[in-house]
Amino acid sequence: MSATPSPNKSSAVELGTMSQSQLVKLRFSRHRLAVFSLYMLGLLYAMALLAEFWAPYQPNAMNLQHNYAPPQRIHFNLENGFYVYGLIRHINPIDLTTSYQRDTNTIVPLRFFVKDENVKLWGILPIHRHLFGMDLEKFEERNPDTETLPTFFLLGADQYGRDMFSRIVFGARISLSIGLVSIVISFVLGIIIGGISGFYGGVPDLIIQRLIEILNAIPGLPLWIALGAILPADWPDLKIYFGITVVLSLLGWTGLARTVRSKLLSLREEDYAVAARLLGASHGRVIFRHLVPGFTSHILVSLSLTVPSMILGETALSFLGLGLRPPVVSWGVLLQDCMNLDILARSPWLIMPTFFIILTVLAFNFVGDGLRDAADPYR
Amino acid sequence: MSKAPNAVQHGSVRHVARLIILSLAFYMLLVVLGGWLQGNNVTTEIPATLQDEALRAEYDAMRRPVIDPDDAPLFYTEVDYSEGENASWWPKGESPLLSKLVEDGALPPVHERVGPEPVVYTGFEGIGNYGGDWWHIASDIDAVRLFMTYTANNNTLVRYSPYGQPIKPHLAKAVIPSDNYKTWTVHLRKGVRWSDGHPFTADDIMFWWEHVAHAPDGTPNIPETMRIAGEPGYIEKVDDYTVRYVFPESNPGFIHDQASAAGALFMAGPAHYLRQFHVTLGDQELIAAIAKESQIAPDRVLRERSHIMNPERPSLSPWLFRTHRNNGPWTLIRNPYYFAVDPEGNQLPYIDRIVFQQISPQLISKTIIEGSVSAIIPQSVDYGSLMNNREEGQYRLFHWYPGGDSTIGVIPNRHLPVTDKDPASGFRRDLLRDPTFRHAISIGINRQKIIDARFMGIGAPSNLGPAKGQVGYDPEHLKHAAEYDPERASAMLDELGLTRYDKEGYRTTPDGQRMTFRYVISGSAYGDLGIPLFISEDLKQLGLRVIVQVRPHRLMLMERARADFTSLESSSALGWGALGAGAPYFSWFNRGGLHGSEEALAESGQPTEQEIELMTKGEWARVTPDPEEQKNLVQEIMKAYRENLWALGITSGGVVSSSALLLAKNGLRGIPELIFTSFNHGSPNNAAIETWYWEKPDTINGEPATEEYLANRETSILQEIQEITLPSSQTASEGTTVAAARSTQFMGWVIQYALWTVVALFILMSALRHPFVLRRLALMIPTMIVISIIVYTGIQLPPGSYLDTRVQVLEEQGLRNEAEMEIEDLKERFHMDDSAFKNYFRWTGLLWFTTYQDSDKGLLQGHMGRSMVNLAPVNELMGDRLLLTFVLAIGTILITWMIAIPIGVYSAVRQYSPGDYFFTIAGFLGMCIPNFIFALVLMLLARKYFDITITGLFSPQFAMQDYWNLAKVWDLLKHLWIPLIVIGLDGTAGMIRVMRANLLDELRKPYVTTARAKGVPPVRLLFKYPFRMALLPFISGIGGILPSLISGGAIVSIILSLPTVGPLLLDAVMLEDIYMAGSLLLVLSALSVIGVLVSDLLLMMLDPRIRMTGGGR
Repeated sequence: MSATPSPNKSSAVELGTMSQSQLVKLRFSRHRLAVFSLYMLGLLYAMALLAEFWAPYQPNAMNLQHNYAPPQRIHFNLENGFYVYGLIRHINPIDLTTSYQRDTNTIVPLRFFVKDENVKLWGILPIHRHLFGMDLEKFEERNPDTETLPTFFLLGADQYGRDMFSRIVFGARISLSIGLVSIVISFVLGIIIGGISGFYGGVPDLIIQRLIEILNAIPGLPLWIALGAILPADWPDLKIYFGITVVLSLLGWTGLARTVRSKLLSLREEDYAVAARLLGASHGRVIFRHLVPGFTSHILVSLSLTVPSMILGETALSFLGLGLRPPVVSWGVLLQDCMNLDILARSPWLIMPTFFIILTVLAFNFVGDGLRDAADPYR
Repeated sequence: MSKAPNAVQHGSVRHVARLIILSLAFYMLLVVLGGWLQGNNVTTEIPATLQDEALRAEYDAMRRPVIDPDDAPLFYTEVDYSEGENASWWPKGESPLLSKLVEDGALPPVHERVGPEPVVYTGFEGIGNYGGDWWHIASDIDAVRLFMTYTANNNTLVRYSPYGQPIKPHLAKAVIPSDNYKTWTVHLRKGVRWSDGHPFTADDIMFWWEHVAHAPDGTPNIPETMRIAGEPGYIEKVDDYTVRYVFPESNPGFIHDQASAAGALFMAGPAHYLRQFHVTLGDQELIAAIAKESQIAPDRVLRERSHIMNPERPSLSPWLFRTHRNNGPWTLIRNPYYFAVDPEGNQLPYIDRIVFQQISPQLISKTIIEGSVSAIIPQSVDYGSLMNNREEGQYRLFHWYPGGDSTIGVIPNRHLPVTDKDPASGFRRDLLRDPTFRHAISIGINRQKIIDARFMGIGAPSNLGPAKGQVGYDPEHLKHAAEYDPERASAMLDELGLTRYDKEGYRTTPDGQRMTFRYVISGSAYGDLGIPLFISEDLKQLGLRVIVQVRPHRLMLMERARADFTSLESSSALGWGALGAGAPYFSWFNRGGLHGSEEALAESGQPTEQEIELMTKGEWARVTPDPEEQKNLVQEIMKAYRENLWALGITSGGVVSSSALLLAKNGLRGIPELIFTSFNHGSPNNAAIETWYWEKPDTINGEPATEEYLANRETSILQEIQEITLPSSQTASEGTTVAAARSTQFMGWVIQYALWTVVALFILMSALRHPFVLRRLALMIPTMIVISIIVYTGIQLPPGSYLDTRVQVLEEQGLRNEAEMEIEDLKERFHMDDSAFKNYFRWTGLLWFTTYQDSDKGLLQGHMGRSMVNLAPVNELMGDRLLLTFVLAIGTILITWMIAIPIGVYSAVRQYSPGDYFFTIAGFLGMCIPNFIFALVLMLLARKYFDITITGLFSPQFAMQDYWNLAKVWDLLKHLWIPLIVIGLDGTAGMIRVMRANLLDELRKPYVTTARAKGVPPVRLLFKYPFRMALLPFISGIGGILPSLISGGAIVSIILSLPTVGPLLLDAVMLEDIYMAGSLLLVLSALSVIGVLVSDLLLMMLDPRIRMTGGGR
């Protein structure tokens, strides 16, 4: 028997004495897909948080000599380490489209932790480094005579030569955070309204239930479109950002409220709750100290399943031009470039934000699923 | 019990390690994906075409057309009218279709219709062939109106030639000025007739002047073109075919005004038609009836009936709008009485008909590129795509001369408002007014960089000035202050006293205040975000903080007076009021400020003496007939410009601007190689569109046509020539042959009576004494009420309104009078002066119960209000959309069931099999891929790999058809399945999982084991009980699905351009067409609510538990 208990094996004794959250964690960790998704989300949020660090370029940094540059393949050899080849732009005289030639004579070396004075996390914290990027000194060394500018477009560039990967990373910051912020508002609204409805019952319950039904009957997107147009276009970007989170959460709280209500209704009659009331506990204390912990996991599940719809809501709104606008970068804004099919057909890498969106939504769904399985005592 | 410390550390280290491995794997995945997406966009060698210098030179030359004013082509042909019948131009030839009508006695012979003094036009490729259609596109009927007004109007007295000058006679036979240009004598052509055969004489002009341009009490309501220097002129009749325009001051610009689109708006319409609508002279009963029906004041009736889109109104254009349709396609058919012929006496136009297919804005590019349009100026279509698809689309691309040479001008706002909220605003304004500051900025902009990046290196750095081929052209002038010298610029700024910097390194005011310059541009109309961003970058290097703000066009129009910088495109060489001298005074200028108009003074501030002087010179230079004087004036303006640099240019020398291209199908002939393209000239009107012809007229856009098609076409054209189809809301006036009205009331009828049917159902159900149903039905009413309140408040909330936008846009086009009248109309029509409460009651139809007036009909009566944009009733605009939305929703549910149920059953029965795993994963993916993204990706894949486009719900010929038949239904089904799959994607996936889970639950129950033990065959067993039980949650789920289906359907419809309610709603919201947006949203909500109700009913029928207990959920 080892002195330190291994986290994966638990004896019956240990199982019996674990707290509920530990139990949930244990069951969750068995759900491999959910765990993987959790890591995936961790990665995405880390990217969003440390965007300046992860992205080789600034999101709005234009490289006008490289509009619609294609993604560059990374090569490796012992002599140069990781590198890409330079790109030479050619303009077709007939139709003025751009095409690129791989300049095998120009090597653009890459390395991790590239120094860059402008890198400040969130504009404040000076870390002066990118996770990886072009090693410009080595570039000068290797290619003293070249005229080709060094570029590193992992996922290609857009119309103004802005690096798609960097834009996606910075876009993650907005898109992913909007999800979280709207969740907070929905959470507050849902708990309060659902709480009132479930705990007091009777007339308030009836009214609130009908209200929820009515709100659910209004088709979401059209209402978002209408509400989105409310946001005056001349508001500063930050205000629009919060305006959107409010709009999204105004329609998202109903799911949570319903969950809270039904749980409260069932748990409120439990002995321990009755006992607490008889002992003189105030309503608030009964709700928050005794009842809520009983379904925290359900709330978590509900929330984690709502986040993706918030993210998609913002994406849809921005995509339609009713939400965030350039120069703010969010995944929805990035998708606006995809509406022109001809350009998209010529430069398919513009559709990469969809990959990230799908990944995020998938990850949240798996995590939510895993949580649900883990929290449900009847499985 | 606690974990030992190093176990905890182990744990977190393990997590971080996993994270790192994951990120590395992720990056590798991205690299692979990137490599895959790279496709063949990267080569190792330079492609051959790119090395061909000769080819490059050839194409570059093509893109830099040069106009030689001394060699101006003409289509106007001078003839001697005294030659009479023997002349070659004497009208003798006509379209075979019209010949038929002449034979039948429906039309007089051609020489009677055209008259003895037709205008003679020679096409650029000689005598043409009669026949064929010009296939065009329009996103809504307003686009057709624009075409009618500017491109095909031709109601002008005179007309621009291809290069603009010389201006030649059109409707008038001759226009002769007096020596001092105060009096203009206009000789009309004898024998010209309106499109209904009635003669056109001086009386028509006089009627307009006396009774339309002046109110019954004599108050003048005359357009700007009848004023000079603020004073009105007048018109007097000399004889039946001669009128005289008399002005108090010399007015050399008269002939220009008459040639432009503003001149065409001059004459509202024929006296014989309009007289009956005149408030004092007309038929009072008729006017009253019309006023009531259209909900407008009686004195507005005349104006409404003179609207260009009134099918009944006779016209003088080569093509007529006689057939109103709610939705496209819209047609313009040949005018049997058009007064132009070719040199051999064939009546013009050659082309019989113009067909506008209704295309949603997103599809316009694609439609143009695939060659579905016969001829069009392809605005904002990607140049590369246009060039690349020439062979496949079978069209040519003409590079015409862009009427405004510099694409974009940067305008410092010399009239920046100074406010207390913005303490540095006063200082900034002084800076913007200082020529040295403007000079510094000018040389601080790296124009070559912009040219390389945005214009592919085409063009040379330059400031504003006349272009090559225009009066005053001087390459040296253009280069003035266009060089890039940031050091000197910085030094100049230092000299201005801007030596203090703030923490971020930007210059401040002398007392240290932050300076931020706002550069406001329009995101859509003058669409280039890139250039202002470059400029702001360059200015940043000089230490000036400039933030670029993109606004929707309408907001930009309102905000530019308050911004430090803005951008504009110009369509004239001396644009923006004398090279920018007048630039910041947009409203002032448009309101006639130059002529001393009083209201102009109320606007954005008064220009300085010098500025006014320059603007006046600019106006004069534009119109003066004396070339010497013109040259002198232009040079004076240019000199003033060099000293002041009112506004900055970027480039000159042939820019690739979509507004100077013409796309024309290969078989279309008669198109000139080069014309001067500008909005003011109504281009391509000055390319003599009525002389264009098809080489092979019996084709559809050059494609072969069947005999049957041609026969049908002939029938419908003949019918449209002879009959007029009015909008359902319009009553015909005397003497018009109206086509039998097709039933367009269906939808209104459905809505109106459906409501009463629901009530009937209510009563019926309650009679059956099911409290459950009763409750649900009763709930529907307050639900709809609450929703309507939410929707109504929601749509009232956005600031500003459509009216403000409309004013600005019209003023920009110089149509101030129109603007005012239209605003009055709109205000009245939409009761904007009533309170929001009252309007709510009116909108919902509750008001109608108190007044019983037709104008107060609302939702409860089935009237969904009117669109503010084109004044059509929303019911008509909806047309089939509601039906299609419904079909889409129901169809999605059906398909979802058809796919999900079998798969779900299979998955449950064959649990853990490979098929099960596959469907589980597919299910997850389906649930997680948002359907609009799926739509996008699918569109891309279909286009890239299969070369098909998956948009729209109908093929072109059925989109045309506005009645339903079996063939159309079949066409719909063929196109329907893709949208259904896309919309139903997540629903299907979810349903598979639910079905699987439910069925699994059921299958575990004891009764199943019992039955199996008793020997019931497995399949029969499956479907007898477990299946049905598992199905129950589905049905209760329908209610929840419908709202999300409609919502999901909306955005997919927008992407795939389906003719459903969603895209219409989006357009309405974007334009702030509030009643339309509100009604549409309400309709969608109503659909959802009904869906929920139906699902509840179904559930009740299927689940006895609910029936028994009468319980709700």
